[in-house]
Amino acid sequence: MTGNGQHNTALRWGDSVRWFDARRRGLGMWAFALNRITGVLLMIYLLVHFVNISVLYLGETAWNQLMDLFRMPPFLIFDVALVLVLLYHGLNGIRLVILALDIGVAQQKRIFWGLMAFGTVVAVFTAFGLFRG
Amino acid sequence: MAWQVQFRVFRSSRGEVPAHFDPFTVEIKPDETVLDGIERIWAFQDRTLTFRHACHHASCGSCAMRVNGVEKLSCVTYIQDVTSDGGTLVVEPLRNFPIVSDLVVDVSPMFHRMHEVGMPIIRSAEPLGKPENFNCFENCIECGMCVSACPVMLTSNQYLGPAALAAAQRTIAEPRGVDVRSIWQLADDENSVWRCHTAFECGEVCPSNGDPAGAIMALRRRLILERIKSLFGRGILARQRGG
Amino acid sequence: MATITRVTRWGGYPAWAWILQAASGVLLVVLLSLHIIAQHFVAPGGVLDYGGVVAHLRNPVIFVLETAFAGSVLFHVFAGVRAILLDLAPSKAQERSINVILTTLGVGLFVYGLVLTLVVVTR
Repeated sequence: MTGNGQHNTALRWGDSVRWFDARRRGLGMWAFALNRITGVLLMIYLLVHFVNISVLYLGETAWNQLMDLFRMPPFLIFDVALVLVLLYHGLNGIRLVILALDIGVAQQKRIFWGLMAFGTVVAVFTAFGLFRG
Repeated sequence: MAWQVQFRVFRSSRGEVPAHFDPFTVEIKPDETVLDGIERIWAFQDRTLTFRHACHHASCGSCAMRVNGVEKLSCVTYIQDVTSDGGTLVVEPLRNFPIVSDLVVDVSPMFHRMHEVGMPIIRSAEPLGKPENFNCFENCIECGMCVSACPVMLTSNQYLGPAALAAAQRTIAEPRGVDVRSIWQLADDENSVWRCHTAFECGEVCPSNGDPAGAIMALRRRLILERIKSLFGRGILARQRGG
Repeated sequence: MATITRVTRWGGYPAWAWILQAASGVLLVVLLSLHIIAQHFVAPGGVLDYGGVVAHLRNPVIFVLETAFAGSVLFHVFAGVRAILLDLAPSKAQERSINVILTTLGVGLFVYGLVLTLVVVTR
């Protein structure tokens, strides 16, 4: 049964999506689950973005109307949320690359919080920039 | 002063579907261990409960199980650290291994893989070089907790797993006559180093600071550098292609 | 020593998938910062009007940057989706379908974006 060196536990669908469940787990597991969740959100945003840039094809009037819509506060809040998601995914990604080069593995939690602190500062500046402009 | 704790113990015998949880109320002191509670259940409440244990001091790795969803060596897990008076403890076998019965899993898949990567724990000579360089992995007690905690292991029963990958890194770092080419090959496989999602759960639960996550990162660095070298026809991966 | 019985595939394919995902990620941190700064922080109200977009894309440096950005973001996104799908334990045949579908989607969207840009800047 196990003579071929495999873990012969039958895989169930639930096991395959368990990466989502970081409850009672460590910081690294949360970082990984959030990385994937933000990744999926960004994929959805990219597809929506492709639709909205397609409005360029419809010409000047249609595009400018859409941009007037995007300047309204609900969309600015969306922009801030987008920046937060991008910052998380990007900064955690940098952490993963640093770790893959075997740098600071023992300090992975500090690296995480350091990058998140940097991200918070960038997010605050971006939010001010968006609402002021 | 004894606490009253409800143990909800995973019960399963081979082929039984579905498995279920049995509740046992146990009088236990806060500075006793989870394994003490399980032994008491077996001694006074249910002689059919099966579980593995041996040394009672965290050196054999037999009593590894999940306590409230997290991998623990039950012999050194104190009641006061995982529950409270009148509280509940959910006790389950390790994940990602075939269940033999109740809390007992078949850990042989992990041992087979340890063999595949040169079984660096069993050594014919003492460590070479500075001891501090070689301390970490030698502390592995093969309890299987890292394999249970690993989220990647949950998604693929082909994944080599943290214990064996850490062993592979150890063997490559100091081969002692083992032919490391097959180990490079195993490590570079689609179900090995590249599959790790860097969740650090293996290191989080490791009872002996074996740092399997760190070993996987070291292996990943080696492989990235070798891949880049191979673009210029150099290094072990380029030579491997030729022969 | 025990023989290796697990099915292994050692062509560097999994390695390069990982390395390119990491490399495109690092590249994106740079390109996306430029993309966002160029599009949103030079424009009043955070977005460019139609004339602004066209003038922007007619700048050859911006055009090259935006094309590189589109290419790396599409690669990174679909390689990421592939990684998630591979964790659902697909069969080898399903894995091949996943590769074909995601590559088609990625290349298709890249070409679409390129054609859209060229149509807008040339009319």
